[in-house]
Amino acid sequence: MIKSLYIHIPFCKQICTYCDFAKLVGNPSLMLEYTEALIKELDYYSQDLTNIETIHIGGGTPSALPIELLQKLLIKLSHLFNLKSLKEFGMEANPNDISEELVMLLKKYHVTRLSLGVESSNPLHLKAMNRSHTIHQVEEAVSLLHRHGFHNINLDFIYAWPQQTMEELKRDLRYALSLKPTHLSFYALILEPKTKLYHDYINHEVALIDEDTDASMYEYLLDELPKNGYNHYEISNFALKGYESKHNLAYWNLDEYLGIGMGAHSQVDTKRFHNSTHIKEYLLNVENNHCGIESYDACDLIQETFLMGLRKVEGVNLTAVSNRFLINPLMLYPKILKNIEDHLLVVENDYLKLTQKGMLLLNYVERSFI
Amino acid sequence: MSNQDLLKLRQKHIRNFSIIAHIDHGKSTLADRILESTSAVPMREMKNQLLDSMDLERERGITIKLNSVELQYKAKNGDNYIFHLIDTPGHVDFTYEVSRSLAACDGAILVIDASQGIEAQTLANVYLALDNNLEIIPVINKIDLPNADPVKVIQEMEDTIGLDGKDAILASAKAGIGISEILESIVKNVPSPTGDLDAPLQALIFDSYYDAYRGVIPLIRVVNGIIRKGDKIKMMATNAEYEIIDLGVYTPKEESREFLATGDVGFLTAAIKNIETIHVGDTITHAFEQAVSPLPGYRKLTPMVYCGIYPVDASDYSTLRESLDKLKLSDASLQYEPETSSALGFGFRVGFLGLLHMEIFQERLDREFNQNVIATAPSVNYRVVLNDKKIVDIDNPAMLPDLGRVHHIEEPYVKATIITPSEYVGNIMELCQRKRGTFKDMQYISANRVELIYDIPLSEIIFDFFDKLKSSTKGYASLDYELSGYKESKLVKLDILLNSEPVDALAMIVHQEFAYERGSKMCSRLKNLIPKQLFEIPVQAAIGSKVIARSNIKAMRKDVLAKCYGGDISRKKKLLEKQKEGKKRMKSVGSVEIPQEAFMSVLSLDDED
Repeated sequence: MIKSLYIHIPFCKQICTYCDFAKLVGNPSLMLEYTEALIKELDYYSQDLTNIETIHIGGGTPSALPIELLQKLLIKLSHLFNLKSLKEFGMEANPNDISEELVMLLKKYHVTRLSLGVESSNPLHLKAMNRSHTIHQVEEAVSLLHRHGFHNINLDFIYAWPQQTMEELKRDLRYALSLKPTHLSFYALILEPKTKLYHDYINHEVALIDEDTDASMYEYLLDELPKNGYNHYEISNFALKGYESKHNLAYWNLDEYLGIGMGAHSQVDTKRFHNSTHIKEYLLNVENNHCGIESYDACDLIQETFLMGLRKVEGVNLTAVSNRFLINPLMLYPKILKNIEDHLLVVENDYLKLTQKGMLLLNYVERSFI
Repeated sequence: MSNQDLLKLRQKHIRNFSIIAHIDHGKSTLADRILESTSAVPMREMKNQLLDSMDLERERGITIKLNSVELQYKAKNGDNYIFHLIDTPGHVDFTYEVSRSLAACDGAILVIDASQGIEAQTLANVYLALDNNLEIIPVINKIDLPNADPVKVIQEMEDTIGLDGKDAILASAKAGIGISEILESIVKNVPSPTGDLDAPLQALIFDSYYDAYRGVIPLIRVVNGIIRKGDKIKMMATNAEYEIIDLGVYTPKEESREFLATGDVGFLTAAIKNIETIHVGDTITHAFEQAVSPLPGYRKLTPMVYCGIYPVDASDYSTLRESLDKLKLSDASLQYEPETSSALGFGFRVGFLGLLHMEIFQERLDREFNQNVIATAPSVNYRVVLNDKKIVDIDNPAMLPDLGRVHHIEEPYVKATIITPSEYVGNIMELCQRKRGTFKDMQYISANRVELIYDIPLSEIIFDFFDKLKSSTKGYASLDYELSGYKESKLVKLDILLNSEPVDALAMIVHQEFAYERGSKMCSRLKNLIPKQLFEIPVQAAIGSKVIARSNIKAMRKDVLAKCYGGDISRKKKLLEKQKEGKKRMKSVGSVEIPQEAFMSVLSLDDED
């Protein structure tokens, strides 16, 4: 049963140096065509979408869509779903796109959660990332949202950015806390091929920070955020009690989800597939009712229960796994025991979970499941 | 005319030759051109470097294996000739292969690059050809290059080799210049095979390879007599007997024939499944009408360098042995015997002609036999004289007897011939000195080119001498060497300890003077090569119980992907699988995982870090 719906808006006003998501700089007519394709794709799947509990509009930059197109999409969603009764309806936005008009629109269509890409409090780093906003705009956006009673706000930050110091991270954290969000994501930089940053790195124009500093930064976040009331619930995610992202938890719990839009991934009925990552091809496919036809991968549910589940701080319920798949996880993955001996994993109240050390070495731990 | 007479007339029209050259002087291109002009290969089937049939050969631009092709050539005198062109390798490691192929020839085309002149392997190859009494046709190649200086090169040739400059053919294989002169010169100057068609069969096996369906396929030169399909044959060294199923020649496509007569060069198949019975250098005769004696075989080889080869997965030991047996068929110089290592388990000690040979062997193991192996650092063979005067040969540093029992250690030396433009003489002397070489001789082969002779320890030559020589002469110097004998040296065994445990496969024998330097470089090199593990690993270099250098591999601290949402899981799994695949190339020694490169790092210890 599909309970989560993801809608991808691939447009951006400018491209961040580190980003390898499906995105492009759009023009008005293309954006219109795209919005109509989304609506057509929603219609295509409407029969399968009767039990949706969470919706997330991500990107790209959803707020890069002209407001009337966004409205068009929201109207369509309001026809398909009782938006008011969703457990979570989230959207991503750039801080400099937050306007009175946008906030009113989001409220009207019962968007409950807004995720802002803040990334850094250091203007130099923001420039190096090619972000379009200023710190001042972040503060204005947050205060505008608060004024309109919009409090469920996530702020995204990137750390371990080239040349970032521990002091700068501490400043970012203080800054983040001062904005009083309900949720914080701190992502260590992932150097992705096919990005400007990667290109600069290969050409020795940019150096990554060393592993020790990266590790210390993460440990600092793991110490400080819970002290300030932000509960660590996934590798990179922290939330005030009750504000964990329900939509994202669907991914980590391997619940079924449908993704619509260019490059969007779906997992339905133990199958994984996605739309074309090329805009023209995507539009043509929707036109011809060929949705979600790329790479039909079968999921290895047992394995992925661990790969995804261990990302959650609470871990994986061993009894639930045994009952669901009729296997003994410790027999199937004997290296779990070695990881427990090495203090990377621990079993607590029937949950297999990462220790703090394991949290830093998840890739190592996960190789035991491959 | 009787059949026999026809065959004798045919024999007079056979020309067996090979092309010899220093590496990169254009041997394979010339071979291609000859194939093309004798229409052995239709133009549309031409791919560059036809005779280099292994992917490995084309990729690296070198010839490793011998190949023979039969070509038809209509000479200007109106007669048709049968050419057998036998390709030869150019690299110093494969001198032995050259000598094998030359034994199947009556003449040789000596290719010299018109811009480079005489190089070390030019000389080495000429001497081999002269040893085999071959007629030499000198060809000055690449005359179309702007910096070609054929007059100077011909002068060099007259002065150093003593060939008559008037015989030299000016050519450019690439541009197709001089090819018909070369073909006519083959007809005129290379003698026809001298063997006796009426004598009992004697065919020399000069190479062989293994075919999964047809068994061992020997390549032969019929020296006397005639061999036919269906004949019962006998291998004179191993006494094994077979019935010929098929025989023929390469054109370069395989072409079956009814017979191969005196002077012919070709292949045969006889469902030979027992690899042991076929020795390169052996003589094939008829089972019923045997030759009195075998042909002179090949000299037995001494490998120059040895290393341990171990399966990454211990259960692959027996398939590794089978692969070695099959490789040996087409690589007669390969020598191996089982050995065990406390770090690596059961494997083999394999002897090679040089480092390139070793590298190629490993790549072939991987590509052709899908063997995942760990190779230990190469070592030369040391002669250890014990206090009781007993002499022990040690080709594995780990086996060096306790120094208390050792009277002294001798190491192999080579006579190294280096040819270089004179401006680099200083650099080369400095390099040779640093490599413990002794100056022997220096000759000007022309106004600005010099031949230097040094006596140098083989271990120094093998490691990185060639690379160093190239880099200190901008690539202009060339090198050839041959074993010259053993000399006493002040050598010590350097042990490497990981996590306080000595790893026998990393032990090396080094000159006392270099021990500290190499020990500390090895420690810092291993620190970079061995991936971080969950715990800190001390790396130490020790002579006996004395630790002379150390470093630490820090514990892994962070390895986690910050983001993993819906679409990321498939990517993530691929990443994890790739990392896991990388681990297959590592060997667990105790609790430490060591990558292949670590065992080889000793080779580049003299590089600047």
